[in-house]
Amino acid sequence: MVGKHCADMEQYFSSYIDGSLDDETKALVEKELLACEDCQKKLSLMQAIRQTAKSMPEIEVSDTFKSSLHERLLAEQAAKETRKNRFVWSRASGFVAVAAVLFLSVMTLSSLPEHPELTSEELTKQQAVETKTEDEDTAYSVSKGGAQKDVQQERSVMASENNKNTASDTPPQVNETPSQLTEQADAAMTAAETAQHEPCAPGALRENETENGVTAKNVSIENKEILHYYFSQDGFLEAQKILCAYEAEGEAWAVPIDAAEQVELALKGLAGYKRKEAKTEAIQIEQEENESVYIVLHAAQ
Amino acid sequence: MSENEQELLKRCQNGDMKAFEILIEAYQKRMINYCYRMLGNRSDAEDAAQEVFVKVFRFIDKFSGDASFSTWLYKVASNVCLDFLRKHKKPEHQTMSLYQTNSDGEEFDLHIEDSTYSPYEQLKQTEAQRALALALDKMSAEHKNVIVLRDIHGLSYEEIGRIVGAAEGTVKSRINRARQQLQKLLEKDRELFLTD
Repeated sequence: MVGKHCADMEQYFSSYIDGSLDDETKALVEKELLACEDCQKKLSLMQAIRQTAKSMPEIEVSDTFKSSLHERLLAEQAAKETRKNRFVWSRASGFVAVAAVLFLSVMTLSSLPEHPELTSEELTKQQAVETKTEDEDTAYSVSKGGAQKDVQQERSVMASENNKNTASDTPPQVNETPSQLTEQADAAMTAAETAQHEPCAPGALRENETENGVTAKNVSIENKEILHYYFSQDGFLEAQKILCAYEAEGEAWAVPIDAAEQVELALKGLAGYKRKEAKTEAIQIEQEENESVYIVLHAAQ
Repeated sequence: MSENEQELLKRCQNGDMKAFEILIEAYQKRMINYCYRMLGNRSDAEDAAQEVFVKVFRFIDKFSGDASFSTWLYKVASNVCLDFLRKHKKPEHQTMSLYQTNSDGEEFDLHIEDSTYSPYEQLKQTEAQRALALALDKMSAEHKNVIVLRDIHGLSYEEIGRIVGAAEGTVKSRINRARQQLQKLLEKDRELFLTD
């Protein structure tokens, strides 16, 4: 019959066979083993099982496995390229929008009588110099708008996967007319405005709006890829606004995997001088039909 | 990581798929066998191991090198297998096949060649391995995971902690509980494990 004393000793057997007990406890266990046959039997079985575990047979890597893996990697590489290109075009569209705003500003300035001696090119240079001297907050707000616009664009791409003519898939045009540029700039500004005013209050996620079949309220972030970001309090609030484009809530956001890279860059760009520490921890990637990455924000004090 | 591996890793992070295939060559067998012990059959194990490598390839540019590449692989593999087990939970009465499947899909009886054992001892060892495989299949996924990582793959508490995302103390007590559970499951087969 196993006494209470034996049951107490048993808890040390695992650490004993791993050699991780301190000297005092190890001596105690060994003393007990000398005195108790039942404990000896239990320990010897545990050791024997461990020995058997070490000797478990292994299977070899088959040629089928290698060729099949090669095919899957090729497919993944192609998918990576697609994501990268989509991101580049999306960023390029952002730059076009900023350029359009600058262009319109230059056009306006060139019509003013204060600088009749300057060409539009010289005016552009002057404008660029003036932009550099703007204070940090102004520069930040431009960056924030651009980042949020990207999220909005990516979201619209995700929402219309089969539509190949979405705005972010369209390469930027270099020879637009001023009116086309005005339209583009307006669209970009509207997108940024929309993203800024996206509802983010608790409960914004409705029951029928789900990520991977579960609402964000019930989403489990265990065993998913989780990206952790650490922001100052201000940066945290700004980052929340960006992630609100995905209509999740709380500190964890489920983001479609295709958009993850872009969101990550947007957050980094946004944080700029406000981020205290950024840590990316790739734990695991949930890869079902609807893939997603979970982004967790932390407000650093 | 060796210098060669670091060089390969850099190339992978620049999108070189060939470099990735060279880099993972040395880890393929380990990953397949880890998945095999977790999932109990070759077909699922190969599928899971492929998923592991594809995921690692997708996120290779996020690998900072803070942990070892091997630990990162185990971490992804552990999550893939635990996820698989959660999604394909078996009814309690169902047990795994006693037979192994070769690469052509043919079933054969498990047989281990080991010249250090007599035929009787070989048979006994084979039976013990079978009993252990069956017992592992009856354990919870989390307990099975720590047994496979610690006792079959020989990883340290620290490495397991990184893989399962737990502190060393937690890992230690989880291993302890898992071994005690395993011991109870195998008590009826103790004569297979202990020498005469």
